[in-house]
Formats: sequence, structure tokens, C-alpha cells
Amino acid sequence: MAIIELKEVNKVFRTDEVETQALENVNISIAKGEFVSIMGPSGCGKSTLLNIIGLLDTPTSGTVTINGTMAANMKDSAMAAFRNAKLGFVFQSFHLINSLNVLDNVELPLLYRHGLSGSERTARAKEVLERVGLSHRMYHRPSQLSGGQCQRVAIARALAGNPEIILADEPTGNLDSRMGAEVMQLLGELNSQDGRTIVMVTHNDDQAALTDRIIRLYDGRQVM
Amino acid sequence: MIKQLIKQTLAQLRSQRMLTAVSIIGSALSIFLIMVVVMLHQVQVAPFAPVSNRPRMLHADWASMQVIDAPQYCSNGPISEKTAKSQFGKLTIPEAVTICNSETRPANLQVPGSKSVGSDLRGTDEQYWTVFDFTFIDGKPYNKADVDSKLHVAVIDRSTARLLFGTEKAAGREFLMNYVPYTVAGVVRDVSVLADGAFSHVWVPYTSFDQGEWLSNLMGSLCVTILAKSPDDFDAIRAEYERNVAEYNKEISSTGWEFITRNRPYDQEKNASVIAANLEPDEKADRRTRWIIYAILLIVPAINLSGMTESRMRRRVEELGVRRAFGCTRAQLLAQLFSENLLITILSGLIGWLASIGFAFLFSNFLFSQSYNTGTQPFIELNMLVQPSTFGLAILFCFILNFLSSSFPAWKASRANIVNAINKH
Ligand SMILES: Nc1ncnc2c1ncn2[C@@H]1O[C@H](COP(=O)(O)OP(=O)(O)O)[C@@H](O)[C@H]1O
Ligand SMILES: [Mg+2]
Repeated sequence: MAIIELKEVNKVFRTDEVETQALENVNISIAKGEFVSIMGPSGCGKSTLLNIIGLLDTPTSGTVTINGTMAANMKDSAMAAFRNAKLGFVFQSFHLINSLNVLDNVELPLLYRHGLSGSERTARAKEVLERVGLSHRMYHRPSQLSGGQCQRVAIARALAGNPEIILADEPTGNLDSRMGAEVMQLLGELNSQDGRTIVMVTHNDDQAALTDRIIRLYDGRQVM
Repeated sequence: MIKQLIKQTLAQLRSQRMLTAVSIIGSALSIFLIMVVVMLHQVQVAPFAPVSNRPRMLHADWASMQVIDAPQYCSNGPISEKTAKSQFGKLTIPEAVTICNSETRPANLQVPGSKSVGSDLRGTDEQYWTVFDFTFIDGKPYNKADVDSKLHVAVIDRSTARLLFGTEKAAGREFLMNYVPYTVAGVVRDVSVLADGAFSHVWVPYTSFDQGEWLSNLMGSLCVTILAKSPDDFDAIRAEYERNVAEYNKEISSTGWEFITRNRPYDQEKNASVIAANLEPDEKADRRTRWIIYAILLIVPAINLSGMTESRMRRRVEELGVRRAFGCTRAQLLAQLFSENLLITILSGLIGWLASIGFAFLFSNFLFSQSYNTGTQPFIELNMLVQPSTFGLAILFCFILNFLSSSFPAWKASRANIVNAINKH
């Protein structure tokens, strides 16, 4: 059974001057445990697609079903709870909170989960930091870390809530090839060892080749 | 939860030092101004020694009479002993009723052979020492027998005792008041002019010197302060007073005068609103005016602060977007922004409040100057200014200020599109 299912999804951005059809009639089905990459030229709608899958944005028409739940029917609080429990995001430019240290950044998703004590949160955050190999940087600020380290912190944050699905938008886009390879290695492990479903946007053919399947977009349309 | 909130707020403070500092100064200034206004009123109504019983007090500083056949002619002012005793002395409901001079008068004190000392004098009865809670350092107050026998005894305050005798242990010592010998019965802690009816430097039985009476001995220089067992008795006491006045009016009908009550005696708040003896004070209008001043002092800075709050939020839209992406609901975000801001506002409020207390001490002379006194500068003490009610008001104003200044920016931030927020569009 598909864990992510998009049916006839359209997304139109309207501004005062222009109307952009960012996605046109997109149908996607992703199975549980799959590692999928999304490729396509800049501006073709990759991020828009990922944001819609991640319930960060809503389609203009069409349906999004995740884990058997139709997104359109969810209220803000249900959507937030769902993101919190099931989804982990990794962004191209990390989006860590600079005023908080690494540990607090990683703890962030756990703040919005019910029934966790402060010490449980900290223990869990330390565990995932260990996993990404950054437990020695817990009390540093993001600004004191290298790009590759930042992205590993971001992955730790995405992992903290133990989500089934990880959505990564060009996670290596701001990294040199060595750091990029480290991040890819990590994502690969999350898929192969933990069985997490991963959807990753990438420009890099070599990285895409490491995944189970490639979805190609061109000008908002799926191409085979 | 609280720990997280404090952590996040501190992180905010650190990351936006300049803006936060300006916000804190702005809020503190606003709370400071409000608290000065609050204190100006508080010293007139809040309880502090020796007027700790203010909440249970009723005041008849002045009385009013009119000519029976020509009511347009009236006389307003302090009353004579006879009037005071007939109208108030007979009251049965209160715990205590004191008759004393409505205002202090200047007096010359002297220990023979030394320089004379100018001071304020108030004549009182013995009940005075029950209604007001003076702190006796030495000796004790004079009693009913002393007052009835017009004894020349005095209670003096500590400063006067030191000036006259060089010591505060002055009970039993003698001095001349306006060239008449008096014996010190007791020495009390100094009293601020702000303690209205309790203020003086020297207190003696009002029977021991000439009080001056006029208008058929109906009016004089005395007033009455009533100590009720409970504020619930106020109405009953006023009703009893009205009956006494009606009865007294019959007794004095031959004078051609009759007393009118103007809804006296007044409680502390209403008495603080008195502007003239021939007008019933409108304490409700005064209260309205005060709240309008508070509102202006809150709304004007709140508008400015909300602009600052908004720019603080604009600088962290990315953070707020990330929080939403990881499962923070709109309501949680709103609550977080609100409480972060409240913490900052309460911090500012604390600063503003402390500043207002410091200001009150520094500038007590002109802040609390009294129009009628004999030139004695008002002094203030911490217990006059730091009242549970002032603290409560300070907190309340912080809440209102926070609500006014942060609800719109916080609401806007919580409604922002997540993707746009993360990408800082
Ligand atoms: N918030 C927005 N408002 C208007 N147009 C947008 C917005 N987000 C994206 N677009 C447009 O939609 C198209 C797809 O954008 P995006 O999904 O970011 O592309 P990609 O990630 O593949 O580079 C682009 O033409 C872009 O300009
Ligand atoms: Mg993109």
C-alpha cells in the first residue's frame, strides 16, 4: 500500500501580475520504505511538490493522501500533529534556529509532542545527535558549525521525532561533494537500516542513481 | 514548559538585543508613568500605619448647614464640640468615633531656656488613639479622663522629642506650648502629612485649648473620623447619622439653621475626592478619569510597541515557519509568542515599577505636596507605596500592555503561510 498518494494535483500561484502553474496534473504513488528522488530543472515545481507532500502547502486542486489520511480534511491542529509524528524535513539551507544551540534545535520537534518530559526530550535528542556523529557539538551554535555539520544537525532534527517519512529538498545543494556524500550516506542508512520512506529533491544524477526511483518534472508536469 | 519558555525568551533577548532593549525601555517607561499616577492616588486611599484602618474609616471632615427659611444661604466647614457630640458621639454601630481638629495649626514649642521650635498641633479626643494606629516609642496616649478634665498633656512625635529634649524617651518631661505648660504623655513615630487626619507633630486634648466656635456655637474647628467594625456597616452608620442629624436639627431650630448631610460621612476613596465643603465629591468621576489616564498611558505606547513587536517577529519568520513545519500548531505558536512577550513585558513592568518607587522617594516633595499643610514636607515610606493593590495593578497593566502590543503581530505571524515563512518571502 502506498504511504504517499497524490491524485491529479494542480498548483497555481497567483500574484498580482502573473499566474504560475507550478504543478500540472501530477499523480504520484510512493510505497512505504521507498527512497525516491525528484529531479528536474530549476523552477519546474520540485519544491512545490515536496511542500505539498509535506502538508506545508495545499494543492489548488487534486488530493493528497498520506498514510491513508486525506490531507484536505485535516484541521490545522491535526495537520500539525501529523507533521510532528510522521514527517521530518531537511532543507537545502538547513533552516536551523541560530539563537538556539544544537541540542535545542534537535529537540524542537519534541517540544510539540505530548507526554514527553524535558529529560526524555534531551535524551532522545542526544541519541540522534550521536547517530549523525555530532554529539561533541551539542552546545555549539549553528553558526559555529560547517555546512556539512549543519546539515547533519538538520537531519538529526528531522529524526528526533522518529518519523516514518523524511522529506529532503536538495539536502546537498549547499555542500561540497565530500560533505554531500556524507549526507547521502546518512540518508541511505536511514532508508536501508530503519526502513524510513525518503523523498529527496536533487540535481545530482549520481545521487539520484543511488535511490530506488526517480520522478522527473518538467515545467510542472511529470515526465517518464 | 516554563523552562522552555524562559529558554526561548532568553534566546530571543540575546539574538535581538537592540530591539528588545528598546521594547523593554518603552514598556518600562509606560508602566513607570502609570505607576506614578497609581501611587498618587494610592497614598490617599491605601492603608499604612498609622492609617492602617482606612478601609474601615468614614470621614466627616466638614459639615454643611443652611438657613431654614432661605436655603440658598449655607455654611460649610468644621463643626463645634456640641454638634460633633450630638451628631456623631451618639453613634452606636461603629467601633470607635474620634473628634479632633480637622486641620493642624502652627504651635510654638519651647523648653524654658532653649530656643523655640515651630510645629504642627492637633487637638484630639482619646478615641483618636484607637481609630489611628500610632506606634508609641515611649509613654502612652492620654485617656478619656485627661480629655474630660482638659489636662495639659501631649503626645509628640520622635523628631519633636529630639528637638525639644535631645532624646526620644521624653515621657513625663515638660515643655511650653504657646507659652502654656504641657507634660509629655507619650512619644510616637513620625507621621507623614499623607496620613491625612493622623498627621501632626504634637497632639493634645482638644479641650485643653480654645477651639473657637461660631454661628450659635454650631460650627467650630472639629471634625470626625469613624472606625466601623466592617465596611459592610457603612450604610447603617450613615442612616444612624441621618437620624441623629434630624433629631439635632429639631433641637437647634431656634437658631434658624439646619444641618444638611450631603451623604456624609464619606469613605476613604470618596473623601479623597473632596474638593470643597459645599460640594458632594464625585468619586466615580474621579475613578473614571483615572482609568482614562491609565488607558491613554497604555494605548499610546502599546501602538508603538506593537510596531516593534512586529519587526521582532518579522526577523524570526523563518524560525516560526520551521516550528510550524515540525508540528507546532497555530494556537501553540500564538501562545508561545504571547508568553514570550509577556515575560518581557513583566520584566519591563518590574523595572518601571521599581523606577516609579525610586522616583516617588526622590521627588516626594513635589509629587505628594499637600495644599493645606503648614509647610511640612511630606515624607513617604516604602509601606505606603508597596501595597498588594499597587502590585496587582502593575501586573494587570503589564497584561493589558502585552495584550495590546503583541496580539496583532502574534496573530499575524501565526497565520503566515509556512512555505513563505521558511523561505522568508
Ligand atoms: N510562493 C510563490 N508565489 C509565486 N510563485 C511561486 C511561489 N513558489 C514557487 N513559485 C513558482 O512556481 C514555480 C515552481 O517553483 P519551485 O517549486 O520552487 O521550483 P523548483 O523547486 O523546482 O526550483 C516557479 O516558477 C516559481 O517561480
Ligand atoms: Mg526548489
